[in-house]
Amino acid sequence: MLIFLACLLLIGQLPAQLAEGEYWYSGTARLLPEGRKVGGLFEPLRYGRSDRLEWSVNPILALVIPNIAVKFASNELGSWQMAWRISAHYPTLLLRTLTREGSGGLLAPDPTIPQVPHLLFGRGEVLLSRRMGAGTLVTLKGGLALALKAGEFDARHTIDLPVIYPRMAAYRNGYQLNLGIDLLQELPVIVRLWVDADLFITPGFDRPLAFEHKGLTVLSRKGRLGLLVGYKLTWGDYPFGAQWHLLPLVDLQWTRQRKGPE
Amino acid sequence: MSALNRPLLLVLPALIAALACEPLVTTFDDIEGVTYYRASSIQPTEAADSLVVVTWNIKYGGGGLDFWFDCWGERVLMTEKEVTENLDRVAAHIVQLDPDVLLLNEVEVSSRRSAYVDQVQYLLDATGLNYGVYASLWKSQFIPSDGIGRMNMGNAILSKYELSDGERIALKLRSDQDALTQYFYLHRNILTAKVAAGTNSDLYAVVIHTAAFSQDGTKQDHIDRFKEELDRFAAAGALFVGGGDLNTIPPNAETRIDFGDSKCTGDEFQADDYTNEADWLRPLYRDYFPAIDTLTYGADESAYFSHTTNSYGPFSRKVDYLFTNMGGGWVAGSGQGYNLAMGTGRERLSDHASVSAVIVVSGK
Repeated sequence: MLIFLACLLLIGQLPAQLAEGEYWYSGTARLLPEGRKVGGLFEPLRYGRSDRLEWSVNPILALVIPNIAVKFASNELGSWQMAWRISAHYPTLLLRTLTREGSGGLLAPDPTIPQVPHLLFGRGEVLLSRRMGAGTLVTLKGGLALALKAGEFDARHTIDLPVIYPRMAAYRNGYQLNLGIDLLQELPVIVRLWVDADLFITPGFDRPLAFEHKGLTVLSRKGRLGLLVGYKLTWGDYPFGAQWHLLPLVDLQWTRQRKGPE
Repeated sequence: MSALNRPLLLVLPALIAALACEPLVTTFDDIEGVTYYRASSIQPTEAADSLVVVTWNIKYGGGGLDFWFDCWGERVLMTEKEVTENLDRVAAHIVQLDPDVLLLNEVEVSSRRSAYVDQVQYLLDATGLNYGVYASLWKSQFIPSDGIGRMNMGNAILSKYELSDGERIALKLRSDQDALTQYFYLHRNILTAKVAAGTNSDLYAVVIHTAAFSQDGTKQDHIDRFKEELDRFAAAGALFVGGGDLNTIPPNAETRIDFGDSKCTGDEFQADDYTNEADWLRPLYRDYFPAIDTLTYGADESAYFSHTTNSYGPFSRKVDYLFTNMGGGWVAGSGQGYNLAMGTGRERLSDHASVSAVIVVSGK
């Protein structure tokens, strides 16, 4: 709540929107222009509500894991554009659905494990972006996540897989910090490179660190469709020990501008 | 960013990752190396005139807990406290038997259901045994069924004496499963290792855990393969002690079906009918020395029963065996089954009883 209030206070006057051809990148301090929608097979649906406010939701996942995120443009910090991103989701429905016998049972229906509690998870992040040289956009980010639980989140409720486990560690621990950097590099013709690195820190947790790095090639010929192909490299300190994983990333995204004044 | 750096930006992390990652499910070559273990503290071992050999399926430290696949309960994942408490009791029994060579089935080294406890290392450190070898038979980063999750279960050999030349010999996969199930299912093996016990001829320990539930002949194939492997050692002039959970009953077992302790009703986990298996172990009994011969077994079957699925009931059948080709065989009368020492209910040590026997080490 404090982060939310801070965001409202920090919203400034300067527009900070993504330029044509940059709509595919959600990890910067730049916002979608008013009326601009971007969706993808896997990425959330994002919408530029105004020049200073962007919201996003994953409509498919929302059926089992209600979720929403908003991004506010804020004052510039020196030569850095600044934005705040607040996201929240409610994973209880999904986790209870996955607690079952047979195929697809990712969590154990063990009678000694308490039911997954009602849990609301929120994350607040500050994003700082600036151009560095020709065609390079750098974004720094830092955030704090909080998990509000109505009961015990048992150690056996976690899914010990890359990407998932570090986030579930926050469910169990109650809070988590994250730090990250994104680099967006324009290349000639139709290709861009998007590289990021994120560190998740779960203070007080017995295995407090996780690292994720993403490398994406983005192809977008006419600006309406974007094909994102790349990989995600993760390092996590799991209950069974530390491990690296390399995962493929593919997404097809589209964008549309709502008719009317932009 | 220079033009030179741009491709590196993408390629370098990918190369690092490719070197660091493991597949979702580990598959195995026909012959592979094994994982070697040492106790955190090595106990001095004197040359002995005889060796105590024990085989035991320890049910991955599950003790008397009733798991879903036995249909007696619904347990899936243990807590670390449950696992270590069970292993402490397993270790206490091993210390009582004081084996020189211990053949283990259903040992886990990094499985979610046993709280990721490395049971080989735990038992080495808790029993005074010095060396171990381990070979997985079920290794997956994630099994997306019943909440099982990460799995690494296998066979192990623990010994007071140094182990070397370890081999994991792959066994035939079940053919009555669809490809996806087979991919995530057990990849059984025979584990062998040379035991530096000071014998004149090389001494090998051999352990197997055959298919339990297959209805397609895989189990018989596994037993035949086990015999072939023992034959190979014998033909090379080596000595062996071999055994494990063969998942079938002795040739002269009186009861061959309906043991009264099976609660599962479907075919998938049905292991209650051995009517067609009477001859499967005969070649082993014929060519080598069993720790408990058919005469001894037939005189008092229940004394040698080594398995039941019901933690609260008596052991109902013998499926765990020891064989050797050592000259003279086992010390007469040394073959023992320990079902009465396994406890009852929650306090039971395993759903299998340990079996032990003593051999005189020739050439000492």
